[in-house]
Amino acid sequence: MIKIDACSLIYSVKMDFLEKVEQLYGNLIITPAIYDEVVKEGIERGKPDAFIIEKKIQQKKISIHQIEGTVPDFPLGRGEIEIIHEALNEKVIAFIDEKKARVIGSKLGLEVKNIPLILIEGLLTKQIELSEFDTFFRKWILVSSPPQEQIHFLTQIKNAIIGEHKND
Amino acid sequence: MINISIRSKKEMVEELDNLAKLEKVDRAQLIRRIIEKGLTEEKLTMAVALYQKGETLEKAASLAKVSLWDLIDFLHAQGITTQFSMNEEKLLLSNALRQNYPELSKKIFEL
Repeated sequence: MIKIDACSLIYSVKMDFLEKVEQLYGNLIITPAIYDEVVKEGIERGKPDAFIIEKKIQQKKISIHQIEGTVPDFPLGRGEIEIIHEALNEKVIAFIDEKKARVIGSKLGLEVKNIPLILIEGLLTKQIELSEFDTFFRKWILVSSPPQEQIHFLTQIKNAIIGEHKND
Repeated sequence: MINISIRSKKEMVEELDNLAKLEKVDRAQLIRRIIEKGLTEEKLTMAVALYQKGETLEKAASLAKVSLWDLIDFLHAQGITTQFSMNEEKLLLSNALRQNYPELSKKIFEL
């Protein structure tokens, strides 16, 4: 089980990454605020990817969990606050790509992952093949517009992993 | 609907009337459409400014009352990159990999 925030959900669906995340972590959990922002609003605005997420909810591959207790008042979006609150309560991984939300979650002791980390861990454990990694990495660059510095850094890590795999 | 009135230069009214004539709509209809279009872009520009000041995309979209989908598309179209901190990224990856991949975890800080 992994709790996923709004931006990570949008990036993942746009880069055809949701199925891989399901394979790696099992059921994806969202909150009511994320459902409203991503699915309801996306469908209202005719975004094709929002329909894909809705279908996954119907197939029970993505679940909406109601919020337990009072949510804290972090300087974040409603969905991010709900995800951090729920992941802390249930002691599960939070999938957050937004830097500020990730930093707040980590400081609270939460295990946080973003798309680059999931890709790198997948490559290390060989649950993601090199060709798959390259495809997802290219798509991630296209959908999330990362800075060159980050792309270069992650490419260096990938090359270091490939070097180590060759020595295995 | 609520009536609003604005003062405008004669040339602008002439341009509006010319465009309205070409599009076969009345002036009010055309002005409404232009305002709607301009308002959407203004809200997106405000959301980008909020994001660049440190709000998350979700928070910025919510404050400016735009869709998160539209904001992500707008950032991409404008060539604006996402927020990134090399130190934070190195810490995130290094901490996550420390237990199972200690050598790579250390190496991350040398990259």
